[in-house]
Amino acid sequence: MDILLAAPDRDFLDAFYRRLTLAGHTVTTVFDGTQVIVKLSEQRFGLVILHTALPRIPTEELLTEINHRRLPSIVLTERGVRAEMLLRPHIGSAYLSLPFLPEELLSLIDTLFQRILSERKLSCQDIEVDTAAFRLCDKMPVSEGEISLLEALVGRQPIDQKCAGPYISALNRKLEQLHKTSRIRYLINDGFRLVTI
Amino acid sequence: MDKARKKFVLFSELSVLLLLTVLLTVINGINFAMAAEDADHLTEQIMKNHGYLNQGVMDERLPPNDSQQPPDNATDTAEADGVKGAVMESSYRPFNGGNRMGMMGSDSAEMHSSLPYFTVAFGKKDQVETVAFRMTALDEAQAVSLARSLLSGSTGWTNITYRYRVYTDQDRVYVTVIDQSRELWPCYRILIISAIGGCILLLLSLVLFHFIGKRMFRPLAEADHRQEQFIKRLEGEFKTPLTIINAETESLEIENGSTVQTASINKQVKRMTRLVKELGALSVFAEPRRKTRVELSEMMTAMLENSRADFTKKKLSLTLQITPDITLSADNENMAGMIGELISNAQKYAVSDVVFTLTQHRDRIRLTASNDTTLKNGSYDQIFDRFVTLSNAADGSTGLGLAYVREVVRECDGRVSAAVKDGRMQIEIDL
Repeated sequence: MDILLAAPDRDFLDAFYRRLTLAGHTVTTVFDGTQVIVKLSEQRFGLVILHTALPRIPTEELLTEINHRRLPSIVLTERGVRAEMLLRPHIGSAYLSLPFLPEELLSLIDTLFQRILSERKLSCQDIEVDTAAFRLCDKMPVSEGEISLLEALVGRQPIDQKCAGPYISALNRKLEQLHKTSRIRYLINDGFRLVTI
Repeated sequence: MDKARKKFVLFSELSVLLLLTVLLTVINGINFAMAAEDADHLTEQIMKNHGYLNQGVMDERLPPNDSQQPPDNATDTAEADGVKGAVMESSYRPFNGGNRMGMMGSDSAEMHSSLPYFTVAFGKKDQVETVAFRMTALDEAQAVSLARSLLSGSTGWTNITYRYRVYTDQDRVYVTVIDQSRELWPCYRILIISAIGGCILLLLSLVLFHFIGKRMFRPLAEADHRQEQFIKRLEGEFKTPLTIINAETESLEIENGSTVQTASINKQVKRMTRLVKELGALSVFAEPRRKTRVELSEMMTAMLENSRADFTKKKLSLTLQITPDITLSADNENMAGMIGELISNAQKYAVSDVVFTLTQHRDRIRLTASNDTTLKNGSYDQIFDRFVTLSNAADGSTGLGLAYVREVVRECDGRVSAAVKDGRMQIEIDL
């Protein structure tokens, strides 16, 4: 896959250029927001990996541009994933908190790649998710974490509140904004389930 | 730091209030006591003079009207001097029972000449005699009635400004009453001025402490802020290098194979990663957080049930006593983090059983995490301080997890405490 890697730290860029290349990807590195915009207009990429501390252009503007080009993105955040991040009009396809293991990033890249290729739609109760386009009911963006959460709910798999907490919170708020009757609730002896309120 | 400054102002103000109250009470108390002592001195002299204030003058009775006729035995000298009013007879000897203050005080000649007073004697068979009478505010009948009402006492104040003394002399009971309104008026004035002055001083001290507090705490607040910024930067400065080290180590292992050295690097990086994440969790409180409605019962049940397998693996029994449908306004992620830390703490330090409870009483929510322990009885609130670990600390414990719990509780304006009693450690959180 052709990956655009954008981070402010050159050592970081060098280290992950090597690691991602070893994993079989073609990597282009940039170290500020302006270069991201320039590279996006010059070349077609399969994925953008974007660090939130990029100088010159705010992350939200870059995400707007990336989403406009219908490109998947992984946002590297130093602050941890929070529900507020997932509720903005333009969000990344996936979020990863620093520090992370390289295999976490590689696994996430593979997952996104599979989603885009599968062009699958996920339906449950009154919820519809376009997993390739990362859209909820065709109106709101959703992240990989929220899609995985919905898949786990549909498949009645156990869900860890600590890791999935921000995604649960963000999905519930999005469903409320879309005036849907489904919500994610914890049921005693049954775990997290999609329930109708 | 703002809370600490307000506490400083409050306690300083309370100290000033206490000191002022004690001081002014003592001063005014002494003032009034001395006025009473002076009055008692006068009544004692009257008692020694068998009901009269001045020696040698057996009859100081004045007619109970405004015109004060001099006695028949007024001296020519007095008339020649144009002295008006009650003039003493020539046999009068000024009181010389010990002039303590010279020109001032209860022993001064002027005091004796102008003191309003009366003495009433009560004999057997209900005999009443007005022995001496020099009052303007009362007539004789009123004086007798007042004296009769004081028979059961010995000495004291009556009618606010009258001092009285009851004594026995030659089978008769005497009641002497003197009017001390003139002497008491300055005392009351001092009392009023003390009260007003005290209030003004309190207000001024409040303003002063407010400014002193600001100046005093500004360096502490700045130091606190710098520490937060430092931790934030440190956390950021650590995260990227740790990620880079991870990536390069993995690349090394792919190209050259895994070695003891790369395994060691990985292990140390994991340790540092944990520390950095905990530090990072603490530094989030420097930023404003949005509060939402948190389904606390649901969250706690979910997280505890999810961790039940971990408790079982460690051979710990887990009991939940969670009241359903408890909610509160808080940051969702922080509450989840707090519960996670409590669970992690219980898993590390419990011997055999853990109990989590969640209850609500009116608008107060109580969350407790209790486990058996080998620690001695006592309060253990210090475990909520950063980098503090106890003697039974687990390997690799950073002393930051429970500090995070305290920050979350503070954000919710709550309280947290830890104590061991009868072999059980109980962490209590009130939100």
